[in-house]
Amino acid sequence: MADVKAWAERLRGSVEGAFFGKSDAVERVLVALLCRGHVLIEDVPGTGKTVLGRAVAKSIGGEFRQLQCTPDLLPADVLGVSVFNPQTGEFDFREGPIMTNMLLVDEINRATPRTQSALLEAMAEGQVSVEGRSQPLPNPFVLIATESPVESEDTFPLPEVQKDRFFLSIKIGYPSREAEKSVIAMQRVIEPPLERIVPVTGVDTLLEMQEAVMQVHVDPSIRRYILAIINKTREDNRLMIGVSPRGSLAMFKGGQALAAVRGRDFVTPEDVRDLAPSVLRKRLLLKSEHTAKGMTEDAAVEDLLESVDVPPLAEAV
Amino acid sequence: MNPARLRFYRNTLHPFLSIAIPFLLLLSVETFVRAMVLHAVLPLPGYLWAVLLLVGVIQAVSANRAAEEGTSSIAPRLRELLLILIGTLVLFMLAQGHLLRGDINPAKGDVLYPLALTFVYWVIAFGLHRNMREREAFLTLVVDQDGDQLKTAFRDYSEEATTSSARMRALRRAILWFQSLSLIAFLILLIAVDPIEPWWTVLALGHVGFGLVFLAIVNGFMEEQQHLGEGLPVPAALQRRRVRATVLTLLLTAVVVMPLTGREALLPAEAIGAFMEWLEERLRLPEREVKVRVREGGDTEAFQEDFREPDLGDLSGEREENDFLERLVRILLISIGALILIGLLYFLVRPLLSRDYRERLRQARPLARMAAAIGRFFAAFADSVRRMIEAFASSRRSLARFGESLVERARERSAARAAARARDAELDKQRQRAIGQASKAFVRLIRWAERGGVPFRKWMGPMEYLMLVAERSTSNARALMEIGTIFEQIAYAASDPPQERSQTYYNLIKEVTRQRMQEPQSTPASDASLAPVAR
Repeated sequence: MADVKAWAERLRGSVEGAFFGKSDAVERVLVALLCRGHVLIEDVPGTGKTVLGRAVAKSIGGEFRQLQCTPDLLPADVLGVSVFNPQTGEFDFREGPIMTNMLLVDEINRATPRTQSALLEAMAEGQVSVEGRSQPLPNPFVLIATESPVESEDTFPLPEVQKDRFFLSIKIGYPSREAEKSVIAMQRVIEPPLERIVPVTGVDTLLEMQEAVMQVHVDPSIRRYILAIINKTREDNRLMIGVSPRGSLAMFKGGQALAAVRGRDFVTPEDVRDLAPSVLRKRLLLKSEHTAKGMTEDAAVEDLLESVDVPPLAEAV
Repeated sequence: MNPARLRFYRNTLHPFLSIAIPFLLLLSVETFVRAMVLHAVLPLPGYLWAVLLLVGVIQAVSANRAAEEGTSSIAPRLRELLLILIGTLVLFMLAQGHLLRGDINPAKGDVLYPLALTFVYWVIAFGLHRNMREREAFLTLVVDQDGDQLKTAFRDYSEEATTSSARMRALRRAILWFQSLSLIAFLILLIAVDPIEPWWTVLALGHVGFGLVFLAIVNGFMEEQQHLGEGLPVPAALQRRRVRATVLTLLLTAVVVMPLTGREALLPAEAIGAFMEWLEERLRLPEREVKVRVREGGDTEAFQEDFREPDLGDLSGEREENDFLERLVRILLISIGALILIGLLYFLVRPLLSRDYRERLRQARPLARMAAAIGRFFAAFADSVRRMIEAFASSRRSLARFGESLVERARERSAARAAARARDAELDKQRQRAIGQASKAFVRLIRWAERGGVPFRKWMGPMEYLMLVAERSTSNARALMEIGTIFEQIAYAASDPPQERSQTYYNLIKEVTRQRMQEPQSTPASDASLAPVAR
């Protein structure tokens, strides 16, 4: 797994040239990339969600497009539209921005549910259906979406089914004092840091790394541990909805990718625990009485993790 | 305490005690009670004792297996008890001929009584073994240590030592209770029954003898613990003295009991019979006086009124109502019985429905294996047909040689498959053993760190915990990280680490736990010590 680690280090170095002090968030995005998963980045405005998305997308060669969501954005603006060609007398299909390797969907919760659902098929099936025709998306296709959870005006919360389509959900949080100092210092340079990012890896290398990650060993005890965590979410009385089998798969594959990024060829319980908040957060739905008491999904995940024994030490103690 | 001795305790002596103590105690108590009361009431199948021994062995094997797997839940043991009871019930019903006669009602003395004995036997054996398990757990912590190291270990694990001692005392109490109980039964027998049969005396002596041997063993365990706590092995002289005391007590008992059995009973059976009659007279319920109405003046109107046949028309409604109620009660009883049966069945087959079992089944992939086997069969069949055609076509090759080659090939394939299966199973067993040993060593490290104020929680991963410990014990940070890395490889990787790495793991644990846990320093540990080894 040395290749994957070296690749991840290179990519991380490139991204951190523009996005400082949040190596955990960068690591999670790399994990999603290695698992062919889509990422939802959410946090308060100004914390660098778009910068992170763009930095990752620019660091990987291949086609990159950005989609700024607004309430008047239509599905056709995303998927593409057929335009009448007077010279040929036929309708020509013009591809939308979704036909790319890396798509940054900025402020996804500003798009209407209709437009949001246009992304569903793309995220789940890797293809889009326009005017009765199915068109495959390029390989790899990774969607990085951002949203701000604090705004409510002119926003449309993502439906549960769409949240489940995202492999990981990442919270960035405010940077540390030191990191923020670096951000300010970098602004003195005339050229913005984001513009200086050049691709450090290609799409083919990404595909190779994705193949390599699948070889990471997951011990049966770790598999049982993952299933125990998932099962807990389904039994917890505080939750209206537990985690779907897609969530179990995300934990499994994500654990493999995180282990590979850390240079190991086997998954440890720490990999699973580190990844669990990002995988589970958006897949849980708290009951309203607990939300009213101020409980958050992150706190629920923390509780769940503390209620599951880690093998094999828990049995030996 | 060397590992071989601990293995002897765990694999031989403790299981033997858990089988033998309840067996001999039940044997003697039941025989005495039978001689006094039950001889004419409940027949006892002779093979019961063999069944009890088998049940004891099953209990001991299951207990050791549960301990190996680290299962502390009582549900699997209850399931084991239920299966044993069901199995023995069927056996008793068959052996007593009830099932062969088509009688499936188990409510019979010659079935329920041995079943009850089986139940009591299992419960006692289970309780005894559970008590001795604490001792094993404690000895595991001090194994392979001697001298000052042993004394320190005893102080470190004082809580475990106390628990082990308490369980041994409880065991001793239980043995004393049973001893007393059966001795009282024997004494009553001496007084009440005439004549005394000589083999009862032998049984009583045997009972006392075995009781004393068991007591001596348990006392020996306790003394061994005390000696080990002082860093000393148990002196051989002390053990010899105990054996001498046991033999002497046995002889004294024989001297007292033998003359008692040689003469007439102290209390003749007639006296007891008279007493029982007297008691029955006192306790008899007053008989109800039944007035018999004599048919006098049968033709009178009053008589006809008294003895008038009830009107059937009036009673039919009542009878229908009674029938309905009776049917309702029967349905209710059947429903309750069915529910209990379903509940019981569910409890028994629950492990087969569990996620863990399904996971194992999924890993075992029986359908895929079956499909592969079928595929292999058809491939072999096609190969055979091809070879047969070739054989017929070729005049030089005889049919006999062809058959032999086929059989040879099939045998080779079968042997190769069996060897591969055995190799896989052996590898898996070796791996589980390696993980078990590494975990045990890690637990020693946890105990050491807990004494230094870093509690372990079962939801923590090994590296996560060691990070916390490293913050407290900065001088050992590098060693702790190394321990964590090797442990992760042992426990979670596809292949075991090289032998030297495993040895390094055990050496590092030994080295770290030998030191005292230090207080946190003013400089953060993460910068100074963790940085070179942080992952």
